[in-house]
Amino acid sequence: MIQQLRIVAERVYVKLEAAYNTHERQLTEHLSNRIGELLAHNREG
Amino acid sequence: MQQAEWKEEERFQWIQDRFNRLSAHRYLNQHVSKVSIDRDKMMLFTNCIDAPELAEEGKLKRTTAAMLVDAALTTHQYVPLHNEARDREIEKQLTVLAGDWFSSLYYSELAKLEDVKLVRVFSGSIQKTNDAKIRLHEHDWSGVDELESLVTIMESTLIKNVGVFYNHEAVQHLAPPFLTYRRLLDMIEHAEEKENPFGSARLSPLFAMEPVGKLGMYRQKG
Repeated sequence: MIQQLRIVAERVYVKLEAAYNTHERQLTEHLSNRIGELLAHNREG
Repeated sequence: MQQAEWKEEERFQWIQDRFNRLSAHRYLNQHVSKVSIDRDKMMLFTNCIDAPELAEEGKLKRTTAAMLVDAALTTHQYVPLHNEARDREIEKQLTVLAGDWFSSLYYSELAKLEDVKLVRVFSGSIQKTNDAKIRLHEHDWSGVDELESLVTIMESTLIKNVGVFYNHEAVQHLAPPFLTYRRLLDMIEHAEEKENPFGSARLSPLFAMEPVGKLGMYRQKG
């Protein structure tokens, strides 16, 4: 079960990163910072 | 209200204040855990409920209504599944009642605004979200594709549909992976901490969670 969740998380991360790179400029500053922070944190982790 | 003068933080504060004012209920507050606003979702809704034809107050009231829908869905997640003790049984009933209370508030907000189209968006989203929750609770999926789909539907149907309604492309595409990823991180972390197959408990949307910490991860409600 946990393995399934890890696989799904990896796939969703890639989708999030792609969507962020495409749409980041349309977001308000707070939201952009928040998602950027989440991506960066988990890239490092 | 003059739109140009409103900063994002001021919008958040307005929504927070209205949400607190509308949702305050002396008796329920004594017996049921207070639902706090999910700031990530508030940011997403504030981003997309920004149609130029709406006055600033209309945008903020619609965003507050969306947060009330989210509160209704979250509150129903707090309903304990197996309670034998009588005091827990009362808590369970009141938690259901609190969720219904939030639902009535969102409906009342939109009725005052006479925004029937948005009511349809919300009600359709609630139905779809709950259907996904039931399937997750039943372990009714086969393979990671379906699991991903169900968690995504559960986490982001409401905001995605609002994004579609207001034609906000960024929110439509970003909200689902953002909210789903956030949820999955919590599930994985929790499963690792428990050092056991976490079974349905963490996956179950009926498990209580609340946003905490600077990254807005979730923590099990104590």
